[in-house]
Amino acid sequence: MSDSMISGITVNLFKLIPSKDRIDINYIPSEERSLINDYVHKLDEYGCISGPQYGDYLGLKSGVYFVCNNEVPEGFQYQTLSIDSSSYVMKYIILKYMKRRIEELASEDEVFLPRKWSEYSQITLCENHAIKQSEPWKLFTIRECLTLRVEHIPLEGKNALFLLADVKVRRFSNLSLAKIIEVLLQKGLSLDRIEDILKNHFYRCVINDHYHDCLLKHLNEKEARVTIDDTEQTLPITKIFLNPHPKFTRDFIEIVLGENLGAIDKIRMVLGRQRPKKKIENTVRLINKLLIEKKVFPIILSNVNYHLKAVPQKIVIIGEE
Amino acid sequence: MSDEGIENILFLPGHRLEMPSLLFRGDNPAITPYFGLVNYGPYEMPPLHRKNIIILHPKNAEFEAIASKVKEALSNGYGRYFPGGFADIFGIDIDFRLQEIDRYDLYSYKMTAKKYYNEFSRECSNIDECFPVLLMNKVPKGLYESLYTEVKYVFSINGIPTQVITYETFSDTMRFKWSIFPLALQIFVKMGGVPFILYNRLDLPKDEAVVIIGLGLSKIHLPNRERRYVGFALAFEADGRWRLMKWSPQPYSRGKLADMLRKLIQDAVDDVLRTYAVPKPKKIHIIIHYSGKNVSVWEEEYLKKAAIELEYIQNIKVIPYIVKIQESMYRTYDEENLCLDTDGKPTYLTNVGTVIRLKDDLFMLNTTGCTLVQSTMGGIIQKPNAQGSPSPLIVSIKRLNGIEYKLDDVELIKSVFYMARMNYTSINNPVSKLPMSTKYSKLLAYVTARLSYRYYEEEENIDINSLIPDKLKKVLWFI
Repeated sequence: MSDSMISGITVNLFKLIPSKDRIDINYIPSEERSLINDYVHKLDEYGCISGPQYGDYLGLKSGVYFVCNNEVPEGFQYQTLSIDSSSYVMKYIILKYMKRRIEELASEDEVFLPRKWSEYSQITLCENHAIKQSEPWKLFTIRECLTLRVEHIPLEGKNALFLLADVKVRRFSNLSLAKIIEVLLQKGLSLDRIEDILKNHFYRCVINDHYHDCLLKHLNEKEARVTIDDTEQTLPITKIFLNPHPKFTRDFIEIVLGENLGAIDKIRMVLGRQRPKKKIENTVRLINKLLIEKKVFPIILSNVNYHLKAVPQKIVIIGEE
Repeated sequence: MSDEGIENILFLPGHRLEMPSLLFRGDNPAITPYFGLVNYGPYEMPPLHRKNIIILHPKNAEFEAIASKVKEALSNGYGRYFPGGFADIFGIDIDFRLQEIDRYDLYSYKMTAKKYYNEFSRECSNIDECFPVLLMNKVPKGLYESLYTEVKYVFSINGIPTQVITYETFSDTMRFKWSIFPLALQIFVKMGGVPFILYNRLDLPKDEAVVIIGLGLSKIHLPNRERRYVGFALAFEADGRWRLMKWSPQPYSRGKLADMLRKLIQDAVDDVLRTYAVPKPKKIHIIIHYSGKNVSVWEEEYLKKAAIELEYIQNIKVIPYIVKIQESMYRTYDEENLCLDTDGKPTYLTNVGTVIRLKDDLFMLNTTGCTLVQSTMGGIIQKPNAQGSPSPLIVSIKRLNGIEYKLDDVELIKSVFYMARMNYTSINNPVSKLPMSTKYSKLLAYVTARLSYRYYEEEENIDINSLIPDKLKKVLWFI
């Protein structure tokens, strides 16, 4: 009987299949959370890939588990163990490895990485090729993106690892104050007039890579005076971004700047309303394109190769509790 | 069956929760708020009779036209979308009035919020008899300082619940017709009315009670950049009835979080027991719902410590449960479940109420998907309650060592599902994606942070709970 004949709930989980049941891995025992975090941080700095295990869990002792491509850096007291290649801690190590490989792909312009692409145990990568850009100023771009997590689900007492993957169509904007001013100057407006027009919107200001909601007070060709939480400060106009979400700002973008958003809105609406069957089919397509064709998988860690099976899992509910 | 055939199949334990009914006037049950309210009316009337609804709007022809249209629809109804109007549905005779705001500036939000409040106080000789509906522009949701959060703050500290409506929603004809009944429902709830309660309850002996606590934390950066925490707890009874909101009295440092959480939960339950439960139960089961977005892993440890210390409250044995609720990126479909869309196309959405155990303590719960709804004539059909590909919630149950539990995992998952049934913001969708216990955490965290700043501006020993007037605490002012 093929699995397509068995009724069940299809889910966007994809099995990670290790070539061997056990993996040789380095281990530093520790039960202190802060110490474990310190080790993880240091090992990663040395180019190793490590995963924390806070407390004993499913036969795995508390501490740090890691692999290094080269020799283990000096100063670490560790032992080498052979553990189940689908153990809980491997979910962190595999995700970190994927992250490194994806960063390499981004540096080769093979994929596009959005802001905050890696946080809370998940990573997001997008197609470099845009589905569509708004015209004429190309202020918005839409791309297909894939968000990934590695999940550990014990099945009948046996460890198993899965990739949880979801596809999303995301809109990226290029609405820096510098770009907006450039457009308005090209339309023949004076800087005084531009300042008047731009004051009536909400902005996001970037300070040390952190985004803050802000309001515009005064601007010149290079800098602007803004208020953030009642405090005024001056920032370069490349660090201030128009918040396009309020309806009046969207009207401004369409009517005053003359940007046509209709075409990208339509694509986003159609793709955003896809029902889960179609969406999971798209996820499979993108996994093949971004993770398998671009050789993120198979992942080679120590003596084990991890293969990704690009077929969604089906859940059959057993023994209603 | 060969191994090859089943290698993409996960055999996992699960459960299908039945859709609990809601109770309306005269203990009449219904699935959908629309059917229940139109046919039977609300379960309980507001204790305080407000005679006037004042719609405050910016002085401008476009805003005035929208405000007039809202006034007309609330007074006299809006076709089948709001049949009969406020008096017919809720049985309250109300006078609707419009009031202009002459200096409206979205960016000078403090001045504008004051304007709204001053005009409202001027227009209404006894503010306890009036309810304000504030028409304004939509502002970004995540904005900490905005006209929206400022008006909420200014009216709240003066003891007045508010309903904000936006020009962007109500100027759109399509959105207007779907929004007018939910608007009336929210006004009724904020007046202190109870539109419906849950018919189904958790499985417990009669002399034992359940209190569900929705717990949130607000992080506050003090002027000296020190970080402090204020906790807030929403208490609900087993029938979904909201009872009260409680804040931790003062901002706490990280080291004292466990103390703060214990005292907060204890105070909230203490207040519920003191005010409402007669006769007193033999045991009380406290189910703490919290959202992982607001509580990090280390804060969770403090929550566990706090729960373990809750042995007795008012000499009643306490059994604490901790339930973490998170949104997820899972997507599911069921090819055997056609669940047709309005255009007759199959959606294959998973049924709402489907529970799958992913791990010992980790469950997938579908609150969005294919659900039972009641048509206007009372027939019950299955249809999608969400567009696109809805994602299930992930619910994890944190069991504590040394506690003799009575409620099993399914009952705890039900507590989440039942609270998602208490959806006061929609009349046709019988289940909200998030349970009411955690749905408002973000807004409350903002308001809490504002209150705490005020606490620092005033004198040191003011209890944050005293900054919100008692009369406001009796209504669900924050929805």
